[in-house]
Amino acid sequence: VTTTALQLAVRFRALGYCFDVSSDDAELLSRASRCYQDLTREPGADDEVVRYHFAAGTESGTFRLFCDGEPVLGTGPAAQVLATLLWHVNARTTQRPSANHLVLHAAAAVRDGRTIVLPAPMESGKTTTVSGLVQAGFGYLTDEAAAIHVDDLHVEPFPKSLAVDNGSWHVLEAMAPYDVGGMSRQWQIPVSTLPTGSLAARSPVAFVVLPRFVPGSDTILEPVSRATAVMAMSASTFQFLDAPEGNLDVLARVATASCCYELTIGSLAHAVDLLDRLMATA
Amino acid sequence: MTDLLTAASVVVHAPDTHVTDLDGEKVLYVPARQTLHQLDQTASLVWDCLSAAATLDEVATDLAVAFAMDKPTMLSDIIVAMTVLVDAGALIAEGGTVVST
Repeated sequence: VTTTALQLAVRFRALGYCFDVSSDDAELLSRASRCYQDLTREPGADDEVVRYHFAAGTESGTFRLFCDGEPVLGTGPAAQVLATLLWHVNARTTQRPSANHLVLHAAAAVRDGRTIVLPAPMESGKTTTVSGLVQAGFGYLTDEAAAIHVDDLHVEPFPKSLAVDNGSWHVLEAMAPYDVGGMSRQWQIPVSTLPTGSLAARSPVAFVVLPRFVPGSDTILEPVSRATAVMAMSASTFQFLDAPEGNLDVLARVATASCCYELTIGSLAHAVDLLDRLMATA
Repeated sequence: MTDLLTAASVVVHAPDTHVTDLDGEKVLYVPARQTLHQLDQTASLVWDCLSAAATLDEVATDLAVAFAMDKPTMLSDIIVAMTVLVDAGALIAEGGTVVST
């Protein structure tokens, strides 16, 4: 007696954004599923489901990506359409209005039940730093979007795969075997597959650290005022202008509940060591 | 640019400016410009001293005593800083003309 399973679609939920991924190609669906394997699989009762589909392109080995039947990308190779899916889901996840959450462009990790949030623009070292923290045993919340509940200031998990750009591969070599994306310039690393990888539950924010990668510099962790932290977090808040006064008040509460620092990163190992010691002693 | 503020100028908070105070530093949000401004502790103290009843000269007199600074320097610093905030729309110069930048 034999049975054959046919995977038609996989459903995920990221910060309330619920989406199905289906594909004409089983391998591409498998790659996409592995990139999101740490996300919640069950939708909430009130969720609307957005449907992504990889359709075969006109040329062999090419695909098109659709979102709710609308084309997101013209024909491209598998890696390109997968990258587009990841980008589209990130954008939709972070740009959804939420009455209960303020969402920062930030990485976040947890040690001893306390969250360290790393808000910063692109190319500042968020993913690299949180990857280092995960390797050091921190629990993983996100490398992209820290959703802070406005009532209890807990950061919600958004455990998408770590998106490690090739500029950081040399300092995160041990992660190479765990890439599931197969892209030429970025690894996709599901944290749960790492030997030290652990996914954290929602946890209260306790540290706000503003990372800044400066090649060749010393690695320095310095306190900053809470007002400075609020200014930086404001610049990193998605849809800040949708409710600026309310968002500012929430950020002030976040800063008041936190120890606030600026981290100049020349060395990842040194940066991780400084943050590890900070959270052990503060 | 704002018309030049002087020692005799009176400036007041723009009514729609949203103010958050953190450890003596302020973060201001100016809705009309959709801008944020951070005030250090000294600027925040100046902010708190502004009122329709006080000229900048009177504010400088009080703060020069409080900070043991010479008054001309304090007045000069206040005028520079408040000019920035008037231009930003966070403050209103009473009787002055503000030209949007």
